[in-house]
Amino acid sequence: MNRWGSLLAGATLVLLWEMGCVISEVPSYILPRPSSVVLTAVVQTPILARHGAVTALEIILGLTLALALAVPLSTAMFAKPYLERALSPFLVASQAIPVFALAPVLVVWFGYGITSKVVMATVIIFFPVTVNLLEGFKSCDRRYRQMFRLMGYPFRDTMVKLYWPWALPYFFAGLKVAVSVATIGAVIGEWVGAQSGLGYLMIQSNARLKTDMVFAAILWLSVMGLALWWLVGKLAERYAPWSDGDEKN
Amino acid sequence: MTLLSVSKLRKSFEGLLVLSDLDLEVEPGEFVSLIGPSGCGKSTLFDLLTGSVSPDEGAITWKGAPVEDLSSLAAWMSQSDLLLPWLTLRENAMLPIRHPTGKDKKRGDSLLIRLGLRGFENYLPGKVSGGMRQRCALARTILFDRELILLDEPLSALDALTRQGLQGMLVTLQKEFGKTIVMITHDVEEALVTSDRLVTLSQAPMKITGNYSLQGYKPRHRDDPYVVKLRGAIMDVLQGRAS
Repeated sequence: MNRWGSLLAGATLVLLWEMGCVISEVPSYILPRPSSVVLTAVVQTPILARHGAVTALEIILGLTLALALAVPLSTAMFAKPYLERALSPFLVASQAIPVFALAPVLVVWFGYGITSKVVMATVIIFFPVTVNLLEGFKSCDRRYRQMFRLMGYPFRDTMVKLYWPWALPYFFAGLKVAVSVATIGAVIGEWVGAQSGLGYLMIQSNARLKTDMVFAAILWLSVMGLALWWLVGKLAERYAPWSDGDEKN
Repeated sequence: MTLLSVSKLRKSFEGLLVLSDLDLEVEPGEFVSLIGPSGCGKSTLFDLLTGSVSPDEGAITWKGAPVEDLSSLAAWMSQSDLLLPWLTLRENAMLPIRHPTGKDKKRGDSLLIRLGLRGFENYLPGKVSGGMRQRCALARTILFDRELILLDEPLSALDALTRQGLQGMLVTLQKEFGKTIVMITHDVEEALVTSDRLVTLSQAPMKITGNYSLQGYKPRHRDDPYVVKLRGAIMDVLQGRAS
């Protein structure tokens, strides 16, 4: 029912947009019709796919790098609370800096190639994953910890048998947020300076008043974000099925 | 030799005295039930024994030697089954054995069968009933391989029929494995059915108000005149103290 409701709401919005463009006769370089956006997204698939692949690669590499940093860091902060106390202010501060402010600096440091965009995506993805995973570890019920202590489990084994599986639903929740915003990092990086990618294509098309292409790129970005979100959801279902209220009493 | 001895145990939280000079002795192989009103500090006593909190004063002695707590000496089972939802019943039961051998696995499997879980060994806890989960938790507690078992209202979340079945099972397994059991319960009947000794406790600050050595073959029948008579007497003590 919810799915049909979403589809209906989306279809209504698109229909209103289409009708609004027809009735108001607004020029397509200001607001293209949804039908022409979809047409462009399909007809220009080779171009969009080429640039989309670059952006997707930036996101995937950013995701990999962010996970490689976030997982050990949150584990270390959980194992050694003094590390959490020392690093938390820096983690929060890193999120207080707008990504737009960082982008030019990263381009200066890492160049116009893919590296600066990967770093941008990493910066955005890293925080929700680290924070959620750490919260997941810390949320472990006292009675379970007590039981493992009585069973004589050392920290490392408790981590593997209890804390990690316990935190997995939190990890996937953080990852869902991360992949939803990951495109922002990559695209902002491409806006500031790039030679390819959907962000680059958007800037180029915007300068030529090819607004339908800008919207087609946005459509592709949305589809990429949704696909990643769906994929993480499927991974969570597969590897942390107990997150769906399958009681941790 | 006395297995466990607790003397002058005292604990307060933020100025509120919960345990006041508590003395308790448990002999090897004994099944002792502690009964008291809700909130009297029974669980705090177990927290002290398992080392989750430290006492303000008092001493714990194990076979005559002073110990800080029983974290390496006692098994523990709580009201909640505490099964890990990502592990099968077999894996949950075997948790206390970190590196199980083939012999351990056989022992675990035979215990699960004894507890009526044959055919469910590979089920996840979310797929079986509350009674089965609690039986699996009981198997895990026995596989702790500790001489003393601390049971914190282990059957209180179950329906009456399942509870009765498990009470009998508890007594049988205690005899068979030669365990010493200290059980917290608020169910007088349960204590009378299963225990060798029943200790009544007062409202916080918790003190021992009665100590009853029980006679006869266990598990006792709940309609046994001896049980019925004692139940009335103990209820009077508990209610009298509560008021």
